[in-house]
Amino acid sequence: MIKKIGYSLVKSVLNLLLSVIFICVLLALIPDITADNYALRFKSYFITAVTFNYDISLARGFYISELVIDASQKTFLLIFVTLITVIMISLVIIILESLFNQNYILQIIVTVIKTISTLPVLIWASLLIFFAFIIWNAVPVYADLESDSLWIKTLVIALPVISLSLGDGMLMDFYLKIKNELSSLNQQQWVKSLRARGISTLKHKIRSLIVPIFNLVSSKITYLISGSIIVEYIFSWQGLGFLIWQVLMTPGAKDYPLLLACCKVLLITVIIISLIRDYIDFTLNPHLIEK
Amino acid sequence: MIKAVSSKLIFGLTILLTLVIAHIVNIFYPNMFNERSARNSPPSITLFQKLLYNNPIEEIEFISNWLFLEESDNEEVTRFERKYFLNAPNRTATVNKEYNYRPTNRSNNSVIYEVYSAPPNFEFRNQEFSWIPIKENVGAHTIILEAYDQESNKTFQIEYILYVNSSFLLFGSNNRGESVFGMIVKGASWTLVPGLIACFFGVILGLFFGAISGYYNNYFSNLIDNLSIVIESIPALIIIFLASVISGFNIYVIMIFVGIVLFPSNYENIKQTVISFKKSQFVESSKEIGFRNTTILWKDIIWSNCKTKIIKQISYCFVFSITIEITLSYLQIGIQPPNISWGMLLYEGRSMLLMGGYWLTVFPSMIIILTLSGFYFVGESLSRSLNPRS
Repeated sequence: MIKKIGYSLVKSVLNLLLSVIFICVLLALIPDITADNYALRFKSYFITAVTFNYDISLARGFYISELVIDASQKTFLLIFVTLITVIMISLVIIILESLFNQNYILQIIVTVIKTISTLPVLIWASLLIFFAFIIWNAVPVYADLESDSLWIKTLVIALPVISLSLGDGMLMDFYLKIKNELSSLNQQQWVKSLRARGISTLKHKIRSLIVPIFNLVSSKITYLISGSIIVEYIFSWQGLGFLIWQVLMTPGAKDYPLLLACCKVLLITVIIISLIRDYIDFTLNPHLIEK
Repeated sequence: MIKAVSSKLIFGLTILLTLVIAHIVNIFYPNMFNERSARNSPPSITLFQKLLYNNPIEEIEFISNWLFLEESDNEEVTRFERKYFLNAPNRTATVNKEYNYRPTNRSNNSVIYEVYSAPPNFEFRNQEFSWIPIKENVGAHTIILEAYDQESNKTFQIEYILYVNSSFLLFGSNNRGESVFGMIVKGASWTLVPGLIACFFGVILGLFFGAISGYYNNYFSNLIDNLSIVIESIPALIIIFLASVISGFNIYVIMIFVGIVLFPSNYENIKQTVISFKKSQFVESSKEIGFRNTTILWKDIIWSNCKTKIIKQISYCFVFSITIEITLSYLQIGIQPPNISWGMLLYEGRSMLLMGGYWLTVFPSMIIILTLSGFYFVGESLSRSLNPRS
C-alpha cells in the first residue's frame, strides 16, 4: 500500500509541475511592453513558482502570502459549504424517495430539480439576485465574516452556495451517482445476508459510499473552482477568483507573482484532493485491500 | 427513424433555425431591430409589470436625462426663464401622439412668442406649440422659441431638448435607450461560429487522436494521455481567462482554448469506446477477411458505433462555448463594445436591478436558457434516434 501511495504522490507532483509550467507559459505570453522577452519572463515566473519566493505585491503593498491566505480561506469556505449542501440535498431526496416510493408530487419535484440543475452558474446567480433584491428583498449584500453574527453570515453565503450547487449540473450528478451506488449496494449479496440476520446495514453503507462520493468530488473540483470564480465576481465575494479577475483587469503590467500564487493555490488544491481520494481508495475499498 | 423524431427534436431544431435566421439578419440587415425609446423604459409585456409592481406601465416614471431645464449663464435670461417658464415643457414625446406646449402663464399677455427652430411638420397657433412626431422623428430634437417681452422691449431665445420615444418596445430598453430585443438579436451572432471553432478543436481533434491512440496503443498515445491529464487538472476558467488576456479579448482565439479545455474528456471517451470494440468479434472477423486497419477503425468502429457519442459531444461543446462566451462577456473580458453579447446585457441588468429594472436580467436569461436547452435537446434526440441498438 505504501508503494502505491508513493507512486500516486510522485505522479501528482509531476502533474503539478507540468501544470505550473503550462500556467507559466500562458503568463509569459500575455502581451506586456514593459517586460523582457518571453523566455526570460517564463524563466523568472517558473523560478518564483518553484522557490515560493513571492515577496511583497508592489501593486497592493501587502505580502502576497497574506493576500492569498485571506482570499483562499473565503474560497475554500464557499467550496466546502457547497459540497456539503449538494451531498446533503441529494441524500435527503434519496431518503424521501425511498420512504414515499411512488409519490407523484415527489417525482415531479425531482424532475424539476434535475432539469433546472443543467443551467449554467451565471444564469442561476443572475436570477437569484433578481429574486433576492426585487421580490424577497431580504438578503444582505455584505457581511464581515469575523465579527457579524452567524445568521447574517449564513444569509450572505446562501445565494452563492445555492447558485454554485444548482448550476452546471452539480446537484444532478451527485444525486444520480449516489442513487446508483445505493441501488447497486442494495442488490449485493452481503447486504441481503446482513438484513436477513437482522443487523443494521447503515454503518456498512456509509463506509462503502465514502469512496464513490470522494471520487465524484475529486472529478468535480475543477468545475467547482471554475464556478466559484464566476460566483465570487457576481456576489463580490472576496476570494481567489475575485482576486484573479481584479489582477487580470488592471491595465498595463499586471501583478504577475500574485496571479501565479492564486493559480498555484488552486492547482495544489486539485492535486491534494486527488491524493486524498487515492488514500481513501486504498484504505477503504475492500477490493483494493485484498489485492 | 421517423418515429424517433420527437417533439424535443422539433423544439431544438426550431431554436437552431431561429439562431441561424438571427445570424443572417445581423449580417445583411444590421439595423433592422435598432429601435430606440426613452432610457430604461419598461417592456410592453405587462405581465411582469403587474406581478411585480401592481400598476400599469403608464404610471411608471421614466428615468430621463432631460428632466430639468438647464439654466443659462446669463443672469438676465435666467430671471426671464424663471418668470415665464413656470410650466416647464414636457421633455418626452411618443410617436403618433400629439405633443402640446404653451410656454407661459395664460394670464400674462405681455410676451409674444415665435418659433425660431423646430423639427418639421409642427404647428404653432394661438401661442401654442403642437406636434405629432412620426417614426422617423425618434431621438433628440432641439426646439428654440424666440420671445419678445413688450415691457422691457427685449427678445430672448429659449431652447430646450425634446426626446421622442418610439412607443413601448417589446422587451424594454437599457440605460442608453436601445431596444433590448434588438440587442438580443444582435447577441445571437456570437453563438454559432464560436461554437464551431470550439467543436473543431475539442471534438474533431479529440475524435482523431482518441481513435488513433485507442486502436494503435503506442508511446504516442501515452504522451497524449499524460497531456490530457495535465490539462484536466487545471481549472478550465483559469486557462480561458489567461487566453482571453493573451489574445486581447478576441473571441475566436478564446474558442480555440475552449476546444483545448474540452479535448481531454472527448479524447478519453472515444478512446475507451475504441478499446472496448477493438477485441470484439466483428473486428477480428473483418481482420481475418482482410480489411485494412484504417477501414476497420474509421468505418466499422467510429462511423457505426461512435456516431451517437460524437453528436452528444458536439451539442455539449456548443453549450459549453456559449456559456463561456456569456460568462466572459459578463466579466468584461470577452466581447467588447460596440459589439453586443448576451453576457453584456446581463452585466448591464445587474446594476439596473437596484432601480427596479428587471427586463435586462429576465429576458436575456430566458433566451439563454431556451438556446442551451435547444442544443441539449437536438443532441439528445438525434443521438437516441441514430443509435443502432435502439
